[in-house]
Amino acid sequence: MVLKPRTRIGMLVVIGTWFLTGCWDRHELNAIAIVVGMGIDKVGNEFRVSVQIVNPREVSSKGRGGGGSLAPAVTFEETGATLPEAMRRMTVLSPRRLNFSHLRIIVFGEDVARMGIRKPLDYISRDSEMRNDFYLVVAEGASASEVLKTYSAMDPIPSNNLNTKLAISDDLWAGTGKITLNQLLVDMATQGKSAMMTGIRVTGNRKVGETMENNRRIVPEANLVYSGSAVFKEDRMIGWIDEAETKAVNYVQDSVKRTLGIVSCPDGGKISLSVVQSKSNIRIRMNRDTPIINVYLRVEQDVSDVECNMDMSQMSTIDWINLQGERKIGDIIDKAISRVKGQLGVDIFGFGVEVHRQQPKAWHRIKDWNEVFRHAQVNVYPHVITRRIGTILQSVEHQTKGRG
Amino acid sequence: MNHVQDTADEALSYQLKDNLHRIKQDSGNSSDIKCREVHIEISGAASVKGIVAYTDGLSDSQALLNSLMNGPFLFEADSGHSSSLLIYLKDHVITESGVTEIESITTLFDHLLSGDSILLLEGSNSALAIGTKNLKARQVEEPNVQAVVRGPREGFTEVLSWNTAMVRRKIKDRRLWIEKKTIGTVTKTEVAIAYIDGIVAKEILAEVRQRLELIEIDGVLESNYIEEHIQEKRFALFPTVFNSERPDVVAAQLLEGRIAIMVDGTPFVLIVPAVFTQFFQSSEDYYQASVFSSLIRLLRILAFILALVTPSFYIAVTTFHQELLPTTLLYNLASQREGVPFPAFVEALMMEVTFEILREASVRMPRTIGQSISIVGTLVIGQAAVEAGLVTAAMVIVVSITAIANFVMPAFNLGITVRIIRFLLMALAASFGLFGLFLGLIVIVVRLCSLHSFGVPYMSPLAPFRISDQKDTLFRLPLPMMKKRPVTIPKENNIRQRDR
Repeated sequence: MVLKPRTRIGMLVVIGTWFLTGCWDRHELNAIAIVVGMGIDKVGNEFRVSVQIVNPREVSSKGRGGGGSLAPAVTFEETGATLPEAMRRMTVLSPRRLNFSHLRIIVFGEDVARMGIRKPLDYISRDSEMRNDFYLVVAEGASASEVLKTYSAMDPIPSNNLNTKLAISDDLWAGTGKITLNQLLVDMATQGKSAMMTGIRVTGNRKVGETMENNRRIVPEANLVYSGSAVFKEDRMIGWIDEAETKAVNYVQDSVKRTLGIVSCPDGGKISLSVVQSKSNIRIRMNRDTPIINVYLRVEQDVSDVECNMDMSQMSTIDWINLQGERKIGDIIDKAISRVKGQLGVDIFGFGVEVHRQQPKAWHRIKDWNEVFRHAQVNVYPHVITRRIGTILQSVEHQTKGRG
Repeated sequence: MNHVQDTADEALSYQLKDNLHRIKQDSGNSSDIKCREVHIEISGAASVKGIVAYTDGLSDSQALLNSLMNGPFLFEADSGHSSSLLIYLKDHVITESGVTEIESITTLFDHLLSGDSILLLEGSNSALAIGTKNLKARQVEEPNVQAVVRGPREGFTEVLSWNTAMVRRKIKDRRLWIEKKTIGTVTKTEVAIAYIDGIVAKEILAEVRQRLELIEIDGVLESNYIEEHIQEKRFALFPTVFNSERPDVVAAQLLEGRIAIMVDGTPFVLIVPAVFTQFFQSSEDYYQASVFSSLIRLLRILAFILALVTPSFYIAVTTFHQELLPTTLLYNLASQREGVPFPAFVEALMMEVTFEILREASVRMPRTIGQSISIVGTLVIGQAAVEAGLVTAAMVIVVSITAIANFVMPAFNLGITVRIIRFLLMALAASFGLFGLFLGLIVIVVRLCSLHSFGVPYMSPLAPFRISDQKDTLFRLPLPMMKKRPVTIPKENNIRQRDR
């Protein structure tokens, strides 16, 4: 068979490529260790990195382990002067090549958070294998490695458990607030806003939490719980805010999807109100060099339960509930703002960003926004609308008392 | 380049003895060539000696002999006695419909060997070829390969004349023209070109005639002999000639301005020009509701893509791009791969090759053993290999879906193409990941776009895009909406339905 010169060269090139690739980035599934969680602590001058790896044999539906004889995940720890060094040194521990593409969560120890997270963040955002859809959290009163060593209930992989737990509570409770890498980097770089990171605590008996025993109980001995948020000034953590304050931040930042609040009735009972939609609008006016910040909130809510004797058929009752809801929300936000202003002295609400946008001239005269924020006047104007009151009209309390 | 030296074409002799000797000698005394001596009785004159030669099994000469021996005939002898007797017999005695006068040895053999009986008379240098063909052939049956749920059940047979008759029965119009020619210097196979005059484009017809003219081969045993000679490229991966064993398909294609090439001895009729999308269409598309047919066509395209890329995509994603998998799926696949000794590519190659072996075996096997093959296939490969930990269950699923998707395509020859390309893509995916896979796909698309079939771009009406032909490409719109014939195939007359 005689080939044209062009065809001959073409074939040579194609065949050549096969020998030249070396398949450098080819890794079979049973040759990689899927890293799902990463913890960063500081030990002396060095970083201590913990890496949580899935043991796929124990996780899949067709697990051959016979009811969990092996741990579903393995956590390795290694120290290094820099993060990459610790990672490479990890190869002496891990039997397989670490693969970071399915990282679910990164935990910072409180120590490292207080000392500044700029250095580890560089590696995390520079590495090509890591995506940026994982969450970043700070371990409250614990080291990151302790968090990654704790067994989790239901979802056998702790990091997965943490990931879904955070996503769901952010969606339904708004008292947590999930932070991804991009958001954190933007917040840290923005002058008019300080960064926040979700906090995580290990509750209960940590010793039992590190054994499989924890998963054999109906009530786990130890658990990983999200609580409040860590507040950062630039890259250093300066303090904690609690759940209600986190929720206030979410209200102002327009990141409340759904949540629940309680107001008191005149007769001492309580009404639960579930927020189904919330929209915030921040307007800035300048009084000379002091900004006046007006936060307008439009909240839609459903009545979840009525534990007091009220005539729910009256429009006036609904109006009263709306008013109580507005007061409650205003109260939460006012309290949070005054505590953040007074004790932490940083703007985690992002008011500075709005000043920059709406009053650019005034913004350029401001040297230290946090200082200005401390004296700024913040007014909150919530507007609450009740949409649905559920499947019954009158409360059970009203029905039974009214007849008796 | 004749492989067998044809004896020089000679005229017949006046001597019956010489002619008989010639027939015997040229056919090497073949036992199936029978020569029956007859005496034609003439009233008032001496009888004339003659010979009826025929091929045993191909012709039925009983009626001919009956009528020849029905003398004495009222023939007035004159000068040139025998030659005019021959004319007399042809005009007044022989009842068969096809009678030809022949004068040379070559023509004599052409007729004799295709089933005609030859009547030779003493003292005449011409003979008569009488159409006494009696073919013993397979009856019209339901097509095996291109079966349908709804639609005509008849398929072509091995006899060309029956096949042309079946098409003629569908198109009863004098504009259906059938040209016959003989190809094959030894086999002398009859090949018919069928087209509808007034619809077919003259230049394509001329091209078909010319390409057939250029064929110089000793034998044509199946239409593929013709196909490989007239297709565009020697090493064609993608078929540029369509084939069908269904008269309704041929009729429909003729109505769209295509040309059918029918070969004696095979039920598979070639249809040109062929375009890529044609291979995704089945005659049944037009016998079922249009919505259903459109969905089925989309399904076929999906199956084509699945059959082409599933194994290579699986290899690329699991060995190069683990980040593309959903996390839970990754755990699942990773847990299956625990303890599997081969890389994903070798695993896939093993399974694919095993499947190809099974398929080939089941085609060649007698029907009765076929069942045991499928049991071995499912048990050994499906279950035992997974349980032995040699392959992952996911790979078995991948190979199975590929195999089943391969059978969805209505055109068998495109299925073969897909099978070949699949292995190339697997090799590319195993060495370069998705980058290689997509590079391979781009090459395929470029190749497809550069192909032509008898002057028609292979990818039309998709590239070049023809909006009016989209009615019957990926979707099949209701028939009343198809007022024009597709413009993809050049033709003289485009109107299918007249507006009212």
